[in-house]
Amino acid sequence: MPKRDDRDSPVAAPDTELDAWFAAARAAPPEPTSDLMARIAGDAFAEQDRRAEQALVPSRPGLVARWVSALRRAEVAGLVAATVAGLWLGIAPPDSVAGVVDTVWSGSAARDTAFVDPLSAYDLALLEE
Amino acid sequence: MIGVPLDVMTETDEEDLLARYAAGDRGAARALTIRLTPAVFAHATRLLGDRAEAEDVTQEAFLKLWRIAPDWRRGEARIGTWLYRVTANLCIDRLRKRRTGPLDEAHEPEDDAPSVERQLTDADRATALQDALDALPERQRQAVVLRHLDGLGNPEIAAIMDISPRAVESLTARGKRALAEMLGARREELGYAEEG
Repeated sequence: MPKRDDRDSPVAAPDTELDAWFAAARAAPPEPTSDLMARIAGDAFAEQDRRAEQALVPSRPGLVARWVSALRRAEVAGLVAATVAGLWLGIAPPDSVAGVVDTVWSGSAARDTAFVDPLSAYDLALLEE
Repeated sequence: MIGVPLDVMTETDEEDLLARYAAGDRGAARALTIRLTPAVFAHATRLLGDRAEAEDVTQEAFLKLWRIAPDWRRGEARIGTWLYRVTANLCIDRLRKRRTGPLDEAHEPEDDAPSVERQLTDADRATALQDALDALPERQRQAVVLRHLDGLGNPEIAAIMDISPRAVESLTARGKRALAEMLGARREELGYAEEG
């Protein structure tokens, strides 16, 4: 029995009928131009160069490292601010604290405290009753 | 320039070359370009029906490959499968934009008026098939091209299209039925009836 040529049959099954068309398309695949190949290879080299340059630049610290660094900066800033404020209060105290500063710096606070009577006369009178 | 079809390269070949490329080897870049470009370009051309657009898509797909190379995880996916998927997605994006663009910019199949004297070649038939493919819905076209022109198996097509192998069968069957109807009318004019 001769082999059936599907291309001659007007009622060929879709698969075999289409096989001839597919075979024709596979026999003449679209070929890329040498220019396209060169562009693609050029992109590849450019990407390699970009990565090589990136590798030379020191990498940025991670998120956690940046947070720790920010907190440390805040701590130092707070310490400096407190020191400056304390120094300022000592050198040029406002009127409301001037008495206190004088007392502290002159040492009179301790002396005065030594003569404070812990029990008032009124308290003693109450105890006697 | 003749390249090696994606399904002929072994996974190890592809992955070794990509790893070497990521390490800065220019020879690996050239080898991957020569091996993979023809299949990617042919696939894009068949999906888009336009060489210039297919060139842009091919270049874009490779740019994505070059950029992902250092992070490529061995054994997770085949490079060929990944490239087919990226290429198809880029093509479908372009087809959708084309469809929503002005009518005068829409792709028109070439007028291939029959001539009795003309000696018909396989290239003429391939052109007629391409015109018919262009008229298919995107997903049917993609499935038919992957199965019957790129020669991939249903499991790999399913991975590329992110659908089940049964859905691949259904898409290719519907696509082929539509192609058979469209091409049936052109059998005689393209010379199939006179040969044998």
